[in-house]
Amino acid sequence: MRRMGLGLCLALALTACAADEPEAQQAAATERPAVQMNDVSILWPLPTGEEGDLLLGPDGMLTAEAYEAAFGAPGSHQAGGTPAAPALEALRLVAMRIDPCAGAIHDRCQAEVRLVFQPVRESDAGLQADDSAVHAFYALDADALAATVERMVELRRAGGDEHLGPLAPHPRMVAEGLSGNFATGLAELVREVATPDRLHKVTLMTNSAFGKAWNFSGVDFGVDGEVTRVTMAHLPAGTEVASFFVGFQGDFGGEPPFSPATVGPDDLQLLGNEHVAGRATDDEREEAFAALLRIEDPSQHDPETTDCASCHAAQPIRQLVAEAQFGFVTPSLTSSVLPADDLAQLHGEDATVNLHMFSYKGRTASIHRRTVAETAAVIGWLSR
Amino acid sequence: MNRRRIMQGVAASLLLLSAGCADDDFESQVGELRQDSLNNPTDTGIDLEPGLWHDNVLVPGEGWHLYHFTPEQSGWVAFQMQAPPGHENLWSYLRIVDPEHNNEVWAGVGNKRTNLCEVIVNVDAGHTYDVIVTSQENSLLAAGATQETDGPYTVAVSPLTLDFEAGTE
Repeated sequence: MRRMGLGLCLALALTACAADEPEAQQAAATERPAVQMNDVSILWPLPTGEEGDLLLGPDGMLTAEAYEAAFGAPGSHQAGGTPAAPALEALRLVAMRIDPCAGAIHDRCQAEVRLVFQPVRESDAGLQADDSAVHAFYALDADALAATVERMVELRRAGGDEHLGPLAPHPRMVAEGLSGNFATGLAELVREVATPDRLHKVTLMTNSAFGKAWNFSGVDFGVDGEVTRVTMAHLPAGTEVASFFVGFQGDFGGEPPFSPATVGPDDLQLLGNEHVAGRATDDEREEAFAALLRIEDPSQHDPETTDCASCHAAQPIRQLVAEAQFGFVTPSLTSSVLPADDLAQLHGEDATVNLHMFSYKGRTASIHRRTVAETAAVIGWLSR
Repeated sequence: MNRRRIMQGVAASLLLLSAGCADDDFESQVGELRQDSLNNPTDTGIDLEPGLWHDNVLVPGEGWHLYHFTPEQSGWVAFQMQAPPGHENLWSYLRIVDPEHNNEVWAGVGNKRTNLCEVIVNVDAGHTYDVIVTSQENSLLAAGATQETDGPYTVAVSPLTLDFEAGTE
């Protein structure tokens, strides 16, 4: 695994470093790292009123040519007649995530920035995000990664060096608004970093079946611009779209919940249907719950080992089926470099089935447990 | 895969095979609307894939939508259509046509509170089936009568495993 150079570590003046001894880990977890959770996973607040115009569109980040190469001409249905990608001009940037080492569990390392776009529309309560999303991934080299993280820390410190706490709509943007210095500086940084020449993957989540099914697909862009379908882990070869169906009552009665079914070792098909889960034995349910926790664990799974639908559906299945109906208890997240309160899941509860891991359903901010864990792992990686 | 346990008598009633209706001359135009029909449905050009839900809207004049399904594997599948429960003029109705064998299977919704219609068919791998989606009202209209169906629906085909057991209806 390639690791970020010492130069970045010094530049960021990290106060916590990797340590093998439990005592050292304990010490690290009480001294907060220089890089905070909200520095590397940034969720824009959904504005109300006139600030709605200040959310960034995809201009300069996601070209119409790339978008059309990925999902076809505007209005093109995806495989199986699943919905077309949202109109490019309707997309607004709602989140950015920095990953210094995508592929780490496979002993590979590709630094990248992921932008999360959603179609938004106005409502009396302010902007609402549709229940769909487009993720755009931009590859960074080590220098660009170091500069990006450093700029994020500087941007935050420019407005004060207080601790911003667990993941949430970015507290600085919430306080200052989208016309404030932080949001303005962040917009500038995003436009510098997320350039079309760095774009290497685009993924799509759409919604069908009267809002009860979610469909996942994506493409990779090769160095020569060639477009290939994202290969989804443990799904049949040639699968273009993977889907999770919760049933028309929204009660986890989808038959089947996941299509196509995974052939991987960690399978949510049993817990994804409460009736099937109810007929299963205790041992079968426990085995399924253990698989679910592994899917939520970035040290166990990444997109190369689990499919998009399973990853996005894991949290609602855990909360609304495994915990609520079968009494399973989810262990707290831990980190060797972050105190426990930084790992709190402030925006993880939703009585509806919410598959947004770090974006919005309507005006509800959604931050999944796996996203918290991934962000903590990023802080840990940067703190080495 | 979805698993169902069905008593044989019930299964037989699900699989209503009827002779294909051939009426190539049936064609009508009402005003400027293209008044489609069972034998002249609007071809959506969409190939359904197992487990993926497709949303669409039936509008007056386009009361019959045609989809296609070519399974990769032989076996039982459930063609499913749902429309908004309680909709005033859209009661889900499915007709699965095997053009090669001039066979078809159809069903209309039995419960308007769910407005969910399902037709279970044992399909052959590589064989193409026409999936015609409409509203039950349209299946009963007299020739030339104006279709008024106006509403959204969703349609899918899901693989099934059926466990048959002895029993009575």
